Amino acid sequence: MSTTRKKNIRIRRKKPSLDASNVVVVTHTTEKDTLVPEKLKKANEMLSKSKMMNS
Amino acid sequence: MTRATYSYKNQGTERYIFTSIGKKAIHKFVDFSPTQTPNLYNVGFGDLLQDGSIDDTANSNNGDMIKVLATVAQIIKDFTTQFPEIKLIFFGSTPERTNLYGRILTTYYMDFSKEFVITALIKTGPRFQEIFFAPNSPNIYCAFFIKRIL
Repeated sequence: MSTTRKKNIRIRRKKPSLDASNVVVVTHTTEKDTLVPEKLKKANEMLSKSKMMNS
Repeated sequence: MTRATYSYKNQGTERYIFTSIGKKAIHKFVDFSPTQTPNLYNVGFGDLLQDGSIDDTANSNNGDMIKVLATVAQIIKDFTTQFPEIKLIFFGSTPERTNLYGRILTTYYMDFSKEFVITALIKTGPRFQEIFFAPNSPNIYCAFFIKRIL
């Protein structure tokens, strides 16, 4: 009679580091379909630095 | 603004084209593009050139500026009627042109303010702040916003 023993195998996963090579920057590109990409870029830049009113 | 306007046609829901007929015929576009802020669209306006490129800095001097601006205003009303929840931002390609837009808003403030909430951006140090647009204000506006009163 044969017996099977389960082996406890531990897999050690390396904890990902937060160096630049592991960071994925997600950007929302909305400038590809516009006729005025530079102006849209400028609008986004201004809006990112703006304190807006609640609407 | 009950002035004469050019007839225009849509290219999709976010682009309009019309022809300015003054000293020469110039094709114009008005382009509404979503910004990275939800429900806030940028208004682009300029000339469509014969080689297919665009120019939003041109001073056409075609002798029909009032009719062209009235057409742009009508297109903005048309777009915001279809999408009343969308707020628009617009500014000129130069500070002088942004000032011109401010003067136009001042001239037609009584008319526009019945249909739109009009606000503007002013510079406060390195940042900007949105405030209510006031006709003849000494503020230097960097951009304007309009949103339909719902």
